Amino acid sequence: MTWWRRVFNRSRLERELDAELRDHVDRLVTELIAQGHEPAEARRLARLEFGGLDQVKEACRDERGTRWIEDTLHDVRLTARGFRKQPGFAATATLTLALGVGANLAVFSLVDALLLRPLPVPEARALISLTRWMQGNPSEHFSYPQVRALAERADLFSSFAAVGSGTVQVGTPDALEPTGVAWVTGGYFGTLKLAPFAGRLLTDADDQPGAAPVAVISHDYWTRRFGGLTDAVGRTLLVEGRPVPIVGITPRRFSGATVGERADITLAVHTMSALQPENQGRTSADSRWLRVLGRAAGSLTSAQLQSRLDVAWPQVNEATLRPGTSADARRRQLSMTLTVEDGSIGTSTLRRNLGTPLTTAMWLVVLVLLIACVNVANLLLARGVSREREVALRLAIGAAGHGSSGSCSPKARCWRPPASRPVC
Amino acid sequence: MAAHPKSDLPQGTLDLLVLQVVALEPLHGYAIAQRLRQMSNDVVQVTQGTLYPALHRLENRGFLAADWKPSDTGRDAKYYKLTRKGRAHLETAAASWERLTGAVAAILRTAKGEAG
Repeated sequence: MTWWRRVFNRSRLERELDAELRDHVDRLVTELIAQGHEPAEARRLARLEFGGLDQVKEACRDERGTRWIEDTLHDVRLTARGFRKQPGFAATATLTLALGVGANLAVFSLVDALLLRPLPVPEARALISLTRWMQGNPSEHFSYPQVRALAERADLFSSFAAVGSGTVQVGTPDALEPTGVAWVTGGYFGTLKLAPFAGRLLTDADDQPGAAPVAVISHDYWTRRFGGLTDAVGRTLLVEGRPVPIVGITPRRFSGATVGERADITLAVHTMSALQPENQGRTSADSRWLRVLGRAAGSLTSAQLQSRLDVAWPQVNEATLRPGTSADARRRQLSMTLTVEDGSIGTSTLRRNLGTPLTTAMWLVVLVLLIACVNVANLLLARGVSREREVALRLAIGAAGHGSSGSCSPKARCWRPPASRPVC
Repeated sequence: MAAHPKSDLPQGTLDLLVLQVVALEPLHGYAIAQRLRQMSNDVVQVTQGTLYPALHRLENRGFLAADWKPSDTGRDAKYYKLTRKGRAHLETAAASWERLTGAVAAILRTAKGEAG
């Protein structure tokens, strides 16, 4: 009989064990009677020789290897009974632990989403991101010309793209719905190595001056807004009053490369001026609003990429300077340096702003949980003292009392008279 | 028939003896105890507290298989029989036992020879 079957067929095993041992005793009695003993005397002798039936049974149960499960169940039953007897204690202990655990869960889910979980894209670990430093101040935001210039450096990046977050109004004028949008450069989906869930994703051809706006929607948005309609691709969305055809759906779970900003719709950067005329200058060198993601060329490590970038960046930077920049601005601009960062968890400004406070908060709530545990331990201790009499009784009848907590050892089972109600 | 508090057998020997006894024919627990006593001329007397746990251990490890069959008392009894795995185990365990006891005997003989 396999281990699992021994766990689940416990009652049958118990019946068989009982029958087997009784059979043995009966045979012993028969033999003793045959040797000339009185039946009553024979039974007494047989019982004497056999020893404690319950002890033998316990030893056999030990051999099943399922002991720890039975003991755990036994302990759970014992605990439940204790809780029923002292609901005040149970409520206090549960609430204390619940608060501690709840706070940890809340903070950890934030930490996980913002700092730990990689983007749901293939080979997320290879993604890098860039931070630029000007006079000691970090920023993730780049201008469109800078992104274009960096993307052209095939010696540095095998793929390179940028994404900026925004909001567009979707729907008819009487039912406008603000919707999160990711404005991306043409290489965005290629850099992420994403395959469309349906239709196609944006390419460089969609991100050209004068290109007709097309939209890629997220799987989540597709299920929410279109109820998962199979013919959603090819329909048009009314974005800022302009019909924009939907060309594809991104894979399930993916909702943009920017943590904390859900992108329901993805549009090409160059179509922004057509859709939002008020954002006319977003492709100029003055407007730094794009966060970048890329993959290093060949087998460059991020350290190698960093050193190559240190050489290449000043040229790229200078080339993207707008003509007619004042000498002062020019000097400031050229003092800019770049650092290569891990891009596997996506890009986010939240991360820089909240990373340290979140880590601190995480330690704090761990401390809170620790304090909660100490409180519960104190409660148990106090309860143990008030149960002194009960524990003394247990010890007297042969159970092993477990000090302060006052629960009894599972071994106590064989000492407990089967018909009596358990003490605890 | 005094009850022994525990078996005087060296650790692990009981398993070997039980497997050997059951190898001849399927037996129930009571008969196994009797055979052990008879075959050893009352030297080996195992208590139920040792025998049954051993039987259950061997069954759980797959060396013995058990069947409930009608017995001479008219009731069903649990008969143990050796499995293929048990037979293989018995052969290796018996061989190693013989090697060990042979070695122990040889040492004792030599020691006695030197003393005398």
